[in-house]
Amino acid sequence: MPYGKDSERQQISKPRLGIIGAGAISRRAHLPVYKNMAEVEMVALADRDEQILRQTAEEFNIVSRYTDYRGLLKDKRVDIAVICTPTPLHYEIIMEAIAQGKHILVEKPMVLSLNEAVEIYKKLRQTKLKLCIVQNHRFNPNVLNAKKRISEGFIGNIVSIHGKALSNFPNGWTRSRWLYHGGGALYDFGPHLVDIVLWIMDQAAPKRVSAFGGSYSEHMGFITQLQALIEFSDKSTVSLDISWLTGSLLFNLDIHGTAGRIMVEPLKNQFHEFHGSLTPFDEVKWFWSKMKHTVDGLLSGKYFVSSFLAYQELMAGFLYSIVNDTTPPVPIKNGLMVNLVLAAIESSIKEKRTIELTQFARGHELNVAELGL
Amino acid sequence: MKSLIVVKQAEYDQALAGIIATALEELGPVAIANGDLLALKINLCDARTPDTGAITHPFFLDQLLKCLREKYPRSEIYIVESDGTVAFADEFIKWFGFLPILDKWNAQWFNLSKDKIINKKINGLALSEVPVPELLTRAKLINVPKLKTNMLTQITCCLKNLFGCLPVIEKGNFHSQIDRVIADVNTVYRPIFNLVDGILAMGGARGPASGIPIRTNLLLAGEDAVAIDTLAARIMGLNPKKIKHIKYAQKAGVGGMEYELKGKLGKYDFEINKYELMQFTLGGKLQDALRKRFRKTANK
Repeated sequence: MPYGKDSERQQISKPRLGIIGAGAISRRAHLPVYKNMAEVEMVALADRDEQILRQTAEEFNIVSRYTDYRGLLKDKRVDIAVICTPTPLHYEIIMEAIAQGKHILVEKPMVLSLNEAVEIYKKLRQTKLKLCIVQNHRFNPNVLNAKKRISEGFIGNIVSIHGKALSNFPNGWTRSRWLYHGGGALYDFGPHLVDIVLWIMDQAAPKRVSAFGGSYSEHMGFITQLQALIEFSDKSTVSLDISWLTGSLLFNLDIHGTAGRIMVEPLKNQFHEFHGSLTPFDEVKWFWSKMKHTVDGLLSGKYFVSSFLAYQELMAGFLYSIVNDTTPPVPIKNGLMVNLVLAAIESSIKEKRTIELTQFARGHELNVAELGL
Repeated sequence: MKSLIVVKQAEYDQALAGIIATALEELGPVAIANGDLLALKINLCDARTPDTGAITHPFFLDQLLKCLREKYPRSEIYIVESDGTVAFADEFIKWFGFLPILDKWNAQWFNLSKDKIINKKINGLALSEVPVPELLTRAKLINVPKLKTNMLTQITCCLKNLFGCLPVIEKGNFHSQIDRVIADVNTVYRPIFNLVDGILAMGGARGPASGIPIRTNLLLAGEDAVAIDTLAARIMGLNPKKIKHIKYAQKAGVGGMEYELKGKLGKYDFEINKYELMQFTLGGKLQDALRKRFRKTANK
């Protein structure tokens, strides 16, 4: 349990949640978890689609319903606004939530534009409100294990990380067209990869970014595939391979250190650690681990949805930070850095040049010293 | 009576229009007059690029339109598809490069899901009525399917492609009785001929969207969808008598499983692992059960 022991959690009063957005991520990931968390109470739900709002509210027994999120944010019973809307709506809802004095839990990515992220960052700093970004994959047991092993020095210093987020178009997940904005695939699984990388590297500041890729066809108008190379001040490097065009799905990170290697697959709860050259023992161990995960997952019913189970851990950590006035599990500064790196990748692709992060951040009126750049 | 199926070898090249024209001539007189309204049902089942074999190849459509335009210069031609659970027809027609081809041959894009619906009563195996997009009541329908395996129905070719005319977004709701529904809709949506783009087909057990591209160089033409699907199953190495929607369609009077071949077939390996395919045919229900079980687990 990374955020608070059970005994500490019992001291938390019962914050009341207002959930904005009753779409796929809300119904599949957030609501099933909160419904059975004793620490929270779901008091209100908002969605502009009346039918989805009614169905979802009935399914999860939420009495107060709003077709306008502003009404929910004005509801004095709501302590925390949980924002599960399409990303293009995040900025205006976050700004209104801050104005209404609500703590905020927002789905990733925080926003689609760096300028909006900077504005939110500056606005939030003027308040005592907490904002936490849903980077649920940090809380998958395999990723937590990787972080722990790396922090304790078991693979030495990080030399390079190779992250892959390869999939088909996300039309199987949601029918929403908003995903097909200019950033496209970069803003789909990209925020997860960038966040995990920065978190594993203890929020080390990237120095420069070079990225290549673009759109499959001129008729699309959004990024469908890219590869990005990020260099850090200690000369360690990160390569990211992100696509919506691949015929086989893969989301993994291969982390190479001076003393070993760790490979994680967040969606499949896979963790493998290697030292020296591969031996038959490693192969058998790897095979056994995969088999165990598959059989356990099928028997428990968690095989297809394991990543959603991390939401409970994330929310528990966020509640703890609110009650004890500590830093949220994924604070806004982390979200800002993710937006900074994503924007730099996008600029590098568009401008066909390497982006120096310090200069890039200054161009967006960011205090580079504060961000450790 | 045996129906005729014309088999041709082709590539996605400039010779294709001529090969299509020859195939149609060999099929015999086609019931189209210059000036007739035509609706070409292509396959845009999922967001997959044409090189995967999952969707109609834009070049195939280009050459088919070239052929039709030369024969029927005064005809109004519509390229049709509907939205589905994972199909955004209006987007896919744009994303995968079809619109310039439509412009080139003066054809128009038409999303069947946005048309006025006329319900046609039937005494079907699963349905008592079939929603028909109004355009299909006026136009002569030309079926342009792909040649693919399908994890749910084993194959997808002529009969399954016309299931895609259903102007219903949540087509997944029909999956529990998909074979019967395919047969039912084929009693209503009646093409004047079928032209199968099998040049780049799809094998494996993950079709209709995530299978293995298989280059067969085949083009199949015929009037009887049941007969062509029977042949398609054999080409893929499957027994058509064990494919339910073909059997049901035959029973419903859509067509017959007997055919006469004109042209030569080669040998094809569709790389179907029958156990893997079984995982989906049997596993669909298991997966649903596991998902339900998760909901309970997550709620604990």
